Amino acid sequence: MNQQDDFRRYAPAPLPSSEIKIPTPYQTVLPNGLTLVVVEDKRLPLVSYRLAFRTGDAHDPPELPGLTDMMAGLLTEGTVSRTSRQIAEEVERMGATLHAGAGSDFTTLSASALAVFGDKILELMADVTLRPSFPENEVELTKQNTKESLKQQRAQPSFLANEMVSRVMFGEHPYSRIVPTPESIDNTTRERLVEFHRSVFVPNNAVFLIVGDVDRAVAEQNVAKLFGDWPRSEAVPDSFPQPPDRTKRVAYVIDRPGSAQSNIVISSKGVNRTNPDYFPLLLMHTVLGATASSRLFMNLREEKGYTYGAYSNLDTRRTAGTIRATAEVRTPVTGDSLKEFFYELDRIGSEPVTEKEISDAKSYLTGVFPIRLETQEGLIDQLVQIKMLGLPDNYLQLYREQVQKVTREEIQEVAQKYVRPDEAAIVIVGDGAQVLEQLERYCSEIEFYNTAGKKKDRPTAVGVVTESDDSSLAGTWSLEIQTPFGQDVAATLTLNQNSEGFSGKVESEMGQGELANVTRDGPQFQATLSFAMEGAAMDATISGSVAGSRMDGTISLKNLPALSFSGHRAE
Amino acid sequence: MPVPMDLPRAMHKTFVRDKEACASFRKTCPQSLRRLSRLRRISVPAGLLLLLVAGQSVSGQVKMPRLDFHERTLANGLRIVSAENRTSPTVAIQVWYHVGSKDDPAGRSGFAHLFEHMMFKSTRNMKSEMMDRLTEDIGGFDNAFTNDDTTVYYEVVPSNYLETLLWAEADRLSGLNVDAQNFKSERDVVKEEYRQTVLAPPYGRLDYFLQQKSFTAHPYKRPTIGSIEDLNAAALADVQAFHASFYRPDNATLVVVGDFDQQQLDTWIDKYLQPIAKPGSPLPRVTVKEPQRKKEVRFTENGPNVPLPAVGITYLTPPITDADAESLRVAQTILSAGESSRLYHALVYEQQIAQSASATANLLEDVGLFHLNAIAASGRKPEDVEASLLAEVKKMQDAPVSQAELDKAINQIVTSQLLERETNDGKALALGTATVLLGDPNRVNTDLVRLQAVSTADVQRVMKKYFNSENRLVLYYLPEPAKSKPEGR
Repeated sequence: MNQQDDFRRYAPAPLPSSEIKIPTPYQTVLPNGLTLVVVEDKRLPLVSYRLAFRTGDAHDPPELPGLTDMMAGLLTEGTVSRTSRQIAEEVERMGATLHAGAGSDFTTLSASALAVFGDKILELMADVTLRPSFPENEVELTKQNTKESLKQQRAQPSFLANEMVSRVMFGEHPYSRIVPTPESIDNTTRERLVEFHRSVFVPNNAVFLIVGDVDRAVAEQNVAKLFGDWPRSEAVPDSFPQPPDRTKRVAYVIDRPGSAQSNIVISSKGVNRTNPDYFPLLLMHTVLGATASSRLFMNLREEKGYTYGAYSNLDTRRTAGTIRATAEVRTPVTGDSLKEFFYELDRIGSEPVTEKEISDAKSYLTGVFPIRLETQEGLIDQLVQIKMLGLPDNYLQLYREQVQKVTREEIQEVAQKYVRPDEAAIVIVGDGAQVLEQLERYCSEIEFYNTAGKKKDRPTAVGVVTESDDSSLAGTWSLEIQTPFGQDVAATLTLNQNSEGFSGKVESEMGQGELANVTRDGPQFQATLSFAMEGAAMDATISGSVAGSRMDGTISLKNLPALSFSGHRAE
Repeated sequence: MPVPMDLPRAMHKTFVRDKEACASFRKTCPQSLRRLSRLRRISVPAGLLLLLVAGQSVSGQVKMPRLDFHERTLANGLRIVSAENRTSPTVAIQVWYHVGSKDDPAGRSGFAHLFEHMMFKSTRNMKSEMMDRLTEDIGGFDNAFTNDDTTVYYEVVPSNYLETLLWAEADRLSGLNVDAQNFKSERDVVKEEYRQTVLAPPYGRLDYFLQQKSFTAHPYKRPTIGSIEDLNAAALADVQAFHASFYRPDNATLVVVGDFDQQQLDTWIDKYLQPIAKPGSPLPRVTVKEPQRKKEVRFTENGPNVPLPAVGITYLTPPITDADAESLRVAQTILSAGESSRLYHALVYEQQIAQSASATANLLEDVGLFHLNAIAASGRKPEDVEASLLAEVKKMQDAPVSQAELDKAINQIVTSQLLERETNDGKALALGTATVLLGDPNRVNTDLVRLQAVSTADVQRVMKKYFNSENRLVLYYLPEPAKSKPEGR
């Protein structure tokens, strides 16, 4: 082997990492209490603005969850002097962007534009912030859209899992509510939005951030001119009940009969963002499950092949947090996956991570950091986080140092202190009857819920259904038809066997029809039906496949996409 | 509903919203953003749409800083374009291979893209997926894309890892070490991508058919993703043959942008890339010319699960290097960018004849293709949609667009270009396009002048020149079963 081959054989080692230049923002407070933060960055003629309020979804009135979100979304839908369409057109003419949105802890208005349009977009931002009109028709449209998206969310297992985790982990703390209810949407009125906007949008609870090609003094003047008359008012405080302490391991199963996958989230009580244990926890999370090279991924995906991906999540918000481990796994390996999850959750506390693991985690965290700060939008988002979550102003300057100084011992200490597998909440969205036996080995206390979040009885365990189960088709079947609108439609399929073969019918909220031309092939059948729907008859085809007491299939109305259904033999 | 032929979508990545930043949002935080980068290794359906502008000003106001670069060509033919930018300790590395789906071997449509996937498998000194580990594990990212004319591999990493990535790119340029198992499993991944991008979306086949029908002789008629039959026919032996034909230093351009020292970069290039031999064989090149269209051509196709009829219209346009390219980009933007664009305003908002409408100037190396696509609104006929699309074309032929519309379009193009120039990989993408497709890296600094020179009269002129009935192809894409007969003559 010659020399050339030698140096080609192994990847060359990295050089020491370069210095990162983090700009120090200029900061001042206007007489009305509005904090202004400016970073002059003249590399490109662009400017980014953020106006961030320290009130978010957590500050929704208890009877009106979702109000902050709806209020934020409506800001750009009309002001005293501009219609929704005029706002959109002005933004487009400049090639700019203007958005508003809310999270748990804060609400943000964001704008970006060519620097030549910096003043114009700022004026527009002031208009939508200070003088939104919440037009009746836009309020109505937003309410309709919110209801529609709520239905679509309910069809997503990941949403159902997050909803249940939030509910059990946060209890009376408002992080427990993650979406509005149909009632809260109905009860939201224009008057309520106007009043809520006035009470939460106060300058002394907000920070205005500017990053880009601006002159600091001019920017300050402009902001003072546009936002200076905005009167100071009482800031809404963070006065929330503590999330409950956990004392034992409990499983919460959201039953979706026929699910091919179990969506698993295992959650422990975490910390808020300013907790001094944050950096050791961040390192722990990186070793445990932040990336595709972390322990959970290597175990559950690479070695076992149970899932497309297994990760941990460090959820640290302003007033509370959770530590989560998640994966979507095939139904029959739900129990095996829990075994591996708990193996990893136990191990992270029982033994120190290796030297290589901690050094890889530090490389990852210090490496991703400058890439994240490369753009104006990337930097301004970090500054928003610092201001809204109460982090120190030199947070970015100290970040890499904080990461570097975490030790293996500290990682083990925080793992023991917080992960606590014996007190974890196990949330599973999946086929309750099939996962029940698999789950009982890992948790003695199990609660069952339907997809609307209502408690339900424990289903009869069926064990893991295998494909080879041959079954009779005849009988009555309770099915859920999945529609493109998100909600499932319940249907009953009756199949009768007689000397000439099968006959039967479908009854549902959508309509009903008699089956014709039923053909059977082993555990599968096909049929046509004429479906009576709101007075009109539509031709449809239905096909299904039975395994044990379970049926999956599709129903196709003429000229429309096929709808999937699944369900069980009715009692 | 987006019309699928939406080229910038595949180019504009929205990644690296990291978990810390998400943590304070109540919406479920995506768990696997980094892992998703593998999914982004997708085919760009057609040519690269890059809006190349730089240099002076827009309406005499916007100044864009010059992008200074360094050029070098090695004895083995490898071209290197590099630009130092020391403001952030990161670096972007891209290798542009001048081979695209137009170079797919006979009977192997989709092969260039399938091959792109193979480049992430094992090489002489790297095991499978090692490139992902070398980037993602240190906080960076990597990916690749294939289009009609090029295949591009890219990485962004902390700058102290530049040498490692040059080593890795040199290793996969020198040779692959793919086995049958790897080949089969990756071919299945690509077939799944075909199902997800062509078969599953209701209008996935529309663009597929449009591309197939729009060219009669040129290999652009083969969609980048290929066909299941041709993918099945592909064999392991084809992989080595394709690498030998096209993955050679004299067919590659290395672009490096970010925090490095030029002298240091040169020594690494000398060490890792200089020794790679240039093959003696000639580089195969497509020489087929697409004939001019002589009369309007019409087709009707049917597809399963098509909720509403769709109409696609194409016109052949000159190659990306033509002087009319900028005017065509401006025309596309006026027709199609945003809710105040002409197509959206007329067809979707005013007439409510379509639920979506778009225009795309697909500027390619050999011959370009301008698309107009629309999906009918419920209860509307494709004939009405076609008439409305053509009426908008006619308006732009009969009268010049207003200066305000032209200014808006230029503002939109300049803004998206500036945003791209913020990052090292965005700068590298611009340099790579200018070098490989436009033949001159300095186009990154001169194209803004071309864009600013576009007048309302230019837009009217290109609309008259290319958007005539002889140069038109019309495709109706309808739900099954076929209700209307093809109206072709």
